[in-house]
Amino acid sequence: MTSASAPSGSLAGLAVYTMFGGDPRQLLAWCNVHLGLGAEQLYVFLDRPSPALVAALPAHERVRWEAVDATTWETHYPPGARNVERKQVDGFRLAARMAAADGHRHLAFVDADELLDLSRPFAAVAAEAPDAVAFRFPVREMWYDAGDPVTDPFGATLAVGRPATGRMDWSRVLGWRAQFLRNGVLGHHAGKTVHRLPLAVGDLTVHGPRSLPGAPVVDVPEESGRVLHFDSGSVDTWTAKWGGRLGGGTVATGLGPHRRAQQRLFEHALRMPAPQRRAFFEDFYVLDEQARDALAERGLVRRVDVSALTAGPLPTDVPDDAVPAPPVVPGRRRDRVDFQFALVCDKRFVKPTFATMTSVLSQVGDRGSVRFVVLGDGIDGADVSRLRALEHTRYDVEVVVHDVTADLDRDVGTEDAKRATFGRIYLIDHLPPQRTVYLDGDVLATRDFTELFDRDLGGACLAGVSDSAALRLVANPANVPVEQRNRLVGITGGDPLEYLNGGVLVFDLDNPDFRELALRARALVVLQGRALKQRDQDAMNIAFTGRKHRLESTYNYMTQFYASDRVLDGDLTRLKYDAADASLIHFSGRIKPWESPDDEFYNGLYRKLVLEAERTVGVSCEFYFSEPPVAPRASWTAARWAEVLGASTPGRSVPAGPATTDLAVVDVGDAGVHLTMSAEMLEHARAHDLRLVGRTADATVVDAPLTAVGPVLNHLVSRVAPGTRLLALDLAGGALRNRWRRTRPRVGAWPGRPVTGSSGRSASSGCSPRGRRPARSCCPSSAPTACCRPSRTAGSPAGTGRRRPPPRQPSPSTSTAGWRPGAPRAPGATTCPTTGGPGASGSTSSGWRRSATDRSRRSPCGSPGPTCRCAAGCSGSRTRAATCATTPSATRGSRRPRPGVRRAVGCRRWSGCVRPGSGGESRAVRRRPRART
Amino acid sequence: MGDAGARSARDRTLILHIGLHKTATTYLQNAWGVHRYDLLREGVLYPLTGLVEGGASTREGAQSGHALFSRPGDKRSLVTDLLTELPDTASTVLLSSEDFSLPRAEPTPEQLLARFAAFGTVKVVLVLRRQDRWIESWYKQLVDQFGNRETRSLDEFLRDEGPRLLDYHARFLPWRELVGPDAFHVISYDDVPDGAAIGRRVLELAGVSAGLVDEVVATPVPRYDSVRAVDTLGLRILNAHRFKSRAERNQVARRVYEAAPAGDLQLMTPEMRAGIEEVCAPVNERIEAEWFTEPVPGLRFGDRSEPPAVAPPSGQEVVDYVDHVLSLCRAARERAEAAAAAEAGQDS
Repeated sequence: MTSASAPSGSLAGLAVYTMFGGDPRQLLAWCNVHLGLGAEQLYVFLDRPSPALVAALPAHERVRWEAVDATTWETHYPPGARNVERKQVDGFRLAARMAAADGHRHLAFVDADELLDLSRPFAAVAAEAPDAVAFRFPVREMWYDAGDPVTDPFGATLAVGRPATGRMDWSRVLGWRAQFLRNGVLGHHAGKTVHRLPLAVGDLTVHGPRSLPGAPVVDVPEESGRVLHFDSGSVDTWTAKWGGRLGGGTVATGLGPHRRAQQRLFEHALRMPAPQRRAFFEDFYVLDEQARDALAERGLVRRVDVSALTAGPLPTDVPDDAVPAPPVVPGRRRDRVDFQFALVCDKRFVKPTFATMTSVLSQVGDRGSVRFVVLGDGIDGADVSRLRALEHTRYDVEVVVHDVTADLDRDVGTEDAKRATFGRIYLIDHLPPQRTVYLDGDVLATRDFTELFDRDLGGACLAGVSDSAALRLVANPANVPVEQRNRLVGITGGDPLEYLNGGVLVFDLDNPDFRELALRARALVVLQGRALKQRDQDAMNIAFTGRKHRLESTYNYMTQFYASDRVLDGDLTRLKYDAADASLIHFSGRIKPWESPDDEFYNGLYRKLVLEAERTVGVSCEFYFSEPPVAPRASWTAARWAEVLGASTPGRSVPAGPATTDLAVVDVGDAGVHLTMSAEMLEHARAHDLRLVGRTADATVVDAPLTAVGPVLNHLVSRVAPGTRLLALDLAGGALRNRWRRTRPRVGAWPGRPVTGSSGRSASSGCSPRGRRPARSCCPSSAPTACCRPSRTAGSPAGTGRRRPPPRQPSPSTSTAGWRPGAPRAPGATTCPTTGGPGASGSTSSGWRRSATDRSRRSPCGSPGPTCRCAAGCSGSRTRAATCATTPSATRGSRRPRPGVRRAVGCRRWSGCVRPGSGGESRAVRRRPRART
Repeated sequence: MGDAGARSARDRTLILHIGLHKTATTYLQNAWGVHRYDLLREGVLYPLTGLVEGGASTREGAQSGHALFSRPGDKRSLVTDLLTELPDTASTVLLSSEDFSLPRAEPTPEQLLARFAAFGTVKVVLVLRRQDRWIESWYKQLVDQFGNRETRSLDEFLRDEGPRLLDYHARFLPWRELVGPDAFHVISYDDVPDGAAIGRRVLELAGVSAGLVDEVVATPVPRYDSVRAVDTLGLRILNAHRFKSRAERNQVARRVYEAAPAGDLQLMTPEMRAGIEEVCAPVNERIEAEWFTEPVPGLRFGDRSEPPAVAPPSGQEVVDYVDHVLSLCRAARERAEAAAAAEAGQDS
């Protein structure tokens, strides 16, 4: 928009509307351009401006500022409907009424990163179609030329259009960036509209009228005018725009798949330090000479410089406090782990992938912390739960599952049955940046192979093993189909051994070049995927040319190849036996060992390795040859309990410290939770109004005051063993439903999965949530219990009533679980945890009895509480209760629960206690069958 | 990359390289195959669809390009596969198979071109070679290949097949009329220095950049040169044995090559050559006048030089060679029969 492009006064007769929330300097520049071009009036709606910003905006007779504060939105828009598009449209309707009242005839609807650039006066355009109710202008996207100021939101000078006809290969212009374009644009190509006033009745979008039956809408030719879309903005406004979306400050519902892909790409960049972020911005938005020339050849680019118009008449200097602070991009949830692995799978490969993970964990799990990042295609919640079952083992392992189904739908299509393998191309979006070993779901480990994480790759970004076809081609070219030969030779530039098999790959994300190379590979798959024989494998080998490192065949021993007759040729035979003692075996045949019970050697090897891994890790892969699944918690260590119960710190270590006995999870079953609580804990719970909250995913399934636990709940519990009671959690669907509803009509939605407590973000935090006071486990590994203590912030005096439990008891005694959600705090003995035990005098309706000693003690609420003696010599009081406690006010806002993870909150195993009057015998926990009640 | 987008070829150009055989087609196909991803980067798809997958051949690199498109039958699904393979970024598709120019009753050129009706533009590239040299090479290839089981001598072959093979004008005029003269591009093999020059012309037609063209033509790839004339003796004996297995036949063929004596035979006599020239020179002059924009003296038999003379093997060497080939074939046949009998025994 040089003066030659947009004649001064071209916007005469036109009012312009925008809604804005961001850096006021951009807004003032936007105003200056439109004022400078003769716009009669600007209607600027400010979305939740700060008072400082409002104060900083200069008055001008042709600018009308309208501030809309957060209260207004919250008053008129229900949660979930405050998306920016809706705000913009509703604001426009209001502005249209204002403008009509002010006597204007036309009102343009543009964003604050868009400028109207008319080659002819708007009055002339409007005069040609006097009956038109709207004039829709095409869009040109603005890209930076080399040397343009990337700190100026309107500093880009290359206006790029789309070809009116014919095909445009954007990848030849933009390289890997082309994968983020849709129809040649980063943003939209739907145009923007000038509406005649008063506004015609009909549905509106941000681009123009959606339905105006019979009303003429004129599509203005590009020669007459256009909207310049500065989608990139400046480094700062780009940071604010995308940071706001990622941080949740801005909700944009109209993001298409390409826009969402951009958002994922930018998410990484926005977490970079400022210099690297700026470098990324320039890499992405600045067109080099070659790109500019290619566009110029097609007549798709022209230079537009608006810098002369942005300077006045409004001053663009504003106080610093008027500039909103850049939004905080949510950080990554975890720091680095010792060993990170990546996998992809579809529904068919969930079990094998789990077997791969189990196998890896069995070999490297004792060496340090492990993270598995799994990309899923069409897998459901049950599959995710299966994969995450490894988190319930004794290892320090995290399983992160991302759904890439929509990405594959968009980029790969729905026709390829094996498309899930292409999910590798999205790993760059989801992998925390550290060296990662990618494994196919048909790879098993035979030994520790963590040396791959320390190996010097000599500057390479990708490491892997030569593909079997390459080995064959080198050994005997005449035995390789010519197409395959040509492909491998072409990709590798003549050295076929450089062609790596994709089954086992080392991604060196610590290498600064990895990211761009991975994006190049993805661009190949996205833009040319159908023409690639081995799609992502070819793409990776092409994109990483010259940056690959060859590993020994022992890191990817391809059984299909080595088992075939093809390796009877000299060198291949030797390689076959040299590499046979492999660390990673790739069961690469078409017929998979988990599907075929044949006695073939490698099938047997697969079964053997999986069985060994299952035993080591303590899980079942549930293959036809697997051992029956075991209760995963049976093998939990105390540390694992503490971890799952939310007691670990972000560093994942569970520091040593005094054990407590306040609260115990005796067992977490599919049908309920068995807990015990000390009298001291109960006292504490009463003093601080602690509640038991159980959450799963985002649903609260249990929310009850701890002090409600007592005899009043007896009718809800069932006796499952001497001294053990169960409160079934499937209350919504079980026989207890009616009673549940009577007592708590507003119970949270039941998600249809076993109960878990959770350190939820609001009132659900465990007694020692992550990042706060760590819990101390104290339970023998054979008993699935753990210990923790309530939050220090809940007001509990540190160490109150806590004692170190016996280190390992052969037969832990148990107590009953039970609570009544939502029951009112009952006074006195009736609301106290019941006392006594089976066979004791003064037995209650639940069959517990209380010893004389017990009776002599008073429970915190005034009634006697039970006392027990620890078999190991310790003693203490104990109340029978099902509990998990927290102080809502203290834990609100704590860490979100990980979806799908079972987590009980508040726990303390009470073990090894001898029940008074029981003859001193210990009682073992008897698990109830897993069927739901 | 939506499916609908991938299947739209209205705005794409198809370049159909139809041969002839023995005009560096294998070399070109290998070169384009090696650089298919480089070509793709420049918007030219050298597709995988239509390539004859297969098996090993008697020599490395042997192929016939996208021959599946040239075969009789309903090829709609194959074309659908081609369009599916076609990425949005490609504006040109390059198909190459000398089998398109096979003198078959069906499919006719019209039927072949109808298969590619989805493309907005179709250009045909034909490489001609003077008939005397071409038919000798073509004969040798037929004898060498598994599928033809050719046992005739060259003079018998020439007598039987010559009339329908040697009149290039009659054979290829339908192609030209179907696509139009502007889309019908003819190259004279005898008037370019080598196969690389042909490749250069085709890639330039496809709009490939000069840099990549240079790179492609400079790439060493396997060629499929004709077998020697003396090999045809042994191969005709081999073909007479009618082996059912291609692999078995290839195995024996390789030993036949190894067994051939030094020196070579002369298949095309001067008399035969003169006869061909007499018949074909007028045809080629007409082709030059109507189809070429530049003079092609090579095609008009302008080059009078004879192939370099090679000393023939002695009679004893030929006899020993024939005996050896016979024994190879007999042994292979016995092995095959024994294997078949064993298999039949297992089945029963």
